[in-house]
Amino acid sequence: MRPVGLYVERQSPIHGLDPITKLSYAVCLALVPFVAGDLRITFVALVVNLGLLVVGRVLREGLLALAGVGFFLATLFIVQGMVYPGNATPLVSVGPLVLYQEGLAHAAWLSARFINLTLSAFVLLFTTRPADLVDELMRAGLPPRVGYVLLSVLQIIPSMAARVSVIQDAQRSRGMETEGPVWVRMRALLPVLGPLVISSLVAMQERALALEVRGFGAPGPRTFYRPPWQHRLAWPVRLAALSALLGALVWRLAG
Amino acid sequence: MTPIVEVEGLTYRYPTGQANALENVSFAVEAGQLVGVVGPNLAGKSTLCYALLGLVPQVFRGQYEGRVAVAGMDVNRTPVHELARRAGLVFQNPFTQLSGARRTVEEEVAFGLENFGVPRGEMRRRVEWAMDQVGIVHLREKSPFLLSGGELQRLAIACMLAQRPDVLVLDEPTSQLDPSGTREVFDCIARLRADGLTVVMVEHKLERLLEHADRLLLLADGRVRAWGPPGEVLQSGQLESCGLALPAHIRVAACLGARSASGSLPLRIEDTVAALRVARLAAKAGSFEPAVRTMDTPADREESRLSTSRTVPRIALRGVSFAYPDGTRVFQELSLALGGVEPGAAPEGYVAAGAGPVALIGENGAGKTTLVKLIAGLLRPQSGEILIDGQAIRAQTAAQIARRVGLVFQNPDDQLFKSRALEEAMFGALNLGLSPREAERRAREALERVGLGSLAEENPYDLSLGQRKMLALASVLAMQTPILILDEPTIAQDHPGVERIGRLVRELQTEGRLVIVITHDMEFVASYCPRVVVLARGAVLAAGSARAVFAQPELLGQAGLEPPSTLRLARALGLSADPLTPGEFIEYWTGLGAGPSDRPAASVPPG
Amino acid sequence: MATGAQPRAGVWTTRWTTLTLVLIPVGIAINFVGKFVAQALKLPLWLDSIGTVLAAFIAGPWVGALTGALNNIIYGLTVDPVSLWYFITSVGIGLSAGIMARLGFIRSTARAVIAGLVVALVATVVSFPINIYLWSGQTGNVWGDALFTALTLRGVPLWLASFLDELVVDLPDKVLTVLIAFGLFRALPRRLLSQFDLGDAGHRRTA
Repeated sequence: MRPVGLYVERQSPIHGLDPITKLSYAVCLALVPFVAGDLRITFVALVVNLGLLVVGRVLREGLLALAGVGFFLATLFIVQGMVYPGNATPLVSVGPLVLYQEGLAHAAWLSARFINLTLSAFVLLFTTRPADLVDELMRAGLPPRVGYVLLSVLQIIPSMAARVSVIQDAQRSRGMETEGPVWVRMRALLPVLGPLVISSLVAMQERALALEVRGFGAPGPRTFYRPPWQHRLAWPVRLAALSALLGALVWRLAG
Repeated sequence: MTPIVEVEGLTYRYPTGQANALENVSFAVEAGQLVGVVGPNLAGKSTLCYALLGLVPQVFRGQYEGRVAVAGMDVNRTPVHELARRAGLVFQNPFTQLSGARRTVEEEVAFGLENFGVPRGEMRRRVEWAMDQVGIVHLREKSPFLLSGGELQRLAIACMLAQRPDVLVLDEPTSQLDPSGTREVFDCIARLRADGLTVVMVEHKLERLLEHADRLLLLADGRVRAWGPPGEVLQSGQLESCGLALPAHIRVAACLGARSASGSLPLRIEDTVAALRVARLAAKAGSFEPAVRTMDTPADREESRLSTSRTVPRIALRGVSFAYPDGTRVFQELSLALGGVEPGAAPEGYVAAGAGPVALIGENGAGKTTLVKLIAGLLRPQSGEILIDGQAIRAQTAAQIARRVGLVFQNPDDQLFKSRALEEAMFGALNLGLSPREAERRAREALERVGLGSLAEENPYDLSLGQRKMLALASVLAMQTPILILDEPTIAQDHPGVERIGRLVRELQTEGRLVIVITHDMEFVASYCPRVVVLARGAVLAAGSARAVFAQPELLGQAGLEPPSTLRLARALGLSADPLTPGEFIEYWTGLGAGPSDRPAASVPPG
Repeated sequence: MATGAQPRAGVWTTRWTTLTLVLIPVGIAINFVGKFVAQALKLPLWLDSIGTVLAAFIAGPWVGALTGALNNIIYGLTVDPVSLWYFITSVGIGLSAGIMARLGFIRSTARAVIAGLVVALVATVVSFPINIYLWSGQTGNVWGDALFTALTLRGVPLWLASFLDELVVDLPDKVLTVLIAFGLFRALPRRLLSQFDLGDAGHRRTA
């Protein structure tokens, strides 16, 4: 059963860093281009992110995931190349369609911002178990009920996904087709979603009862079974990330 | 000393209920007792469990009268999380009671304690202790989602134990488990009780329950029909009048007038053995006639009524090899013929089961479900051929094969999605291309046959689990397939439900259909399936007459199975016969006592 | 004993119980799995909001909004960071679906179509400004962006072209989503729905 998320099980210095620090880093670095408004700063941030992915030994997975959005980035270039308001200097023409320099440059800016955003998140996501992140957030003050919601989603999704093929089989044995033209497959949508959704909602009632009996509604502070995650670089990294963001702001204001 | 659980005049109705779920229920449980709660489905047993934890009325609301006190706390006035510090509840479904928010078994056990704000040191102590009590310490790092049913239920018990309750309430904890899981759970509960825990347990498996219960509470239609020491309750005849069946060995004892030393009915199989040894009673024909008529007749006595032999087996597997995508190899060169061909007349290399309804038995993981999925075309073999009525199914889709092979899955919730039971029953028939009118006619007929005729307009999920299983069965019945495969149909059914399924199996066979039943219930096999196929680790250990197979204890042991209890009784008494059902046992016994020439004229009527 | 009738909930009433809380992760899971099923059946559909809409139908606009918000947060923190920016869209979907339900728009298929149109419109109106900020108006959908390009080249103002781009993407997807959620809602048993305040969303034929 594949767990939800991008986490890659590996040993690395980044994996050992605590989730909150990585979250702070990701947020700050993702925002740097937006705040600075400068392509050069964006490239610096990109390089930092790539560097950390290397240190975290997840560069290959990160780049593979990035390849998935290649198509979208290509459309950015094509469309902006054609319709960007500041278009003036043509660069390439394909039949009646003309791509302008300014538009392409703008697309480059949008893409760089986007790639940086994604890579910053990857530094966190590829090296952190979602459950660990939520646990640390709860320790930091996230309300336990919200924490519960986040954690249970991560568990429920794989188990529901695993049921899809079971339900498909069960319905096929009642004569429902899942192969063939589109309209045949459309008719299989409700018979597959139906049992999945309805039985999950009905099971949810029982889960709620079980939670009640396990003190879920109990008032007072919650305790934690696992000891807190500590790392000596936690505060240095957080401060560095925050400074980067402030630096970007200064850069923007300084023109 | 005040009882640890006191229930007085409890009367309750759900917000959407048409009638009271519980009516004037009163009883009291002393500390350290194990109380078994029994009754037919929909008797209010689960509602009672909820009431002991305050979920009724605090979560469910509805109309509530009477008084329930647990460990001195009034459940109406104390919030559920307070009550949960003194009482625990284990649910029927092993899976849904997981928090769903913890990655390892150890953390799962700690979950409740985290909610209660227990300090870490104390938490660790309690978690270790609880895991040890139920025997899952070796599983501590495992994901809860990867546990077996028996392990899951023990985990649930551990989660409750860590909260250090005075009372543990369990709602049919073994209903979804196979025999070994059931044994694990009962052993665990027995140990806990020996340590002084008070237990209230709802169960259908009477034979096991009677080995441990101090008191029995019989509920039917929301009312208490009997309450007291098990011996008294059994003797009162109330169980039968509520539609329940006594365990097989007790029926035998009751019939033969055998009593334990204290003069009451024996409770455990050992007691029955002892009682029968002491008094070799000759039967007086009239005295046991009425009782015997309700006894089960072994399935193979019915065979003369069933379809005769054919030359082409209904289902044939030829050299079938199958492995799952992850590499788990299940079958290697399997050749098996089902339906119609006698073992002696099978073609070379085949193992054949013969005519009559066939039971597919074996431990979990033996390959039973994989086999039926191959037959239904849901899985494709890597090599070999599967033929149905002589035709290869290789080129057909599962939906096409569904015209000939009806498969009822174990979990009805994997199939039900319509807003009315009638539409659900029509779904399969409509998929086969029948007109809505014809589909509806067949669906109504099928619903009648499974006893849901009056519930055609209900939402399937408003029905109980047992009823939903019947509904899934009805929807496949409406497809009127020549071959029908049922995967564990008796789970979650009460005795009348099991009998209904058994009768249905017989009727279907008389209509000329082949019925295959995957089951763990050996009593069911003895009464309704004259033929068995025993699977173990992907190989057929034996196929043929059930009687012959049951007579071989080593074979059963290899497959991880136990014979029906009357057979065990006979073995324990050192008898040379192999009675499969209580009726047969009595027949044999009374024949013994009276001598072959003096057999009473009124022998057991067939069927 | 007289059976008490459920008090009629207003448009915004929410009964916060453990059950309501447990509904949220199930709703989010349904979002994820809805997309998964569409892929498993090889259907060219997005269908990633079925759970949000269904949660809104069952428990009202606030729960729908919360489900939507947390959905994007989880999706953003586990799979695709971009969805964090669009969490307000999911909130909008949850709110509008819940409001339409409580106003009685899921009592029949025809009304459900209207509800679907409203939800689609809300989703579009909320999303296109984000599109403008992040990608100068594009959506990443082939048809929508083709329309966007054609319109912009003809001199249509950016905001309108972007709005229509998003509408082309959202209209079929959200209407279908609402209809599917409607079909599922109708199949839910009484014993589940009775634990929630449905207001005018409860459409039960007299049973």
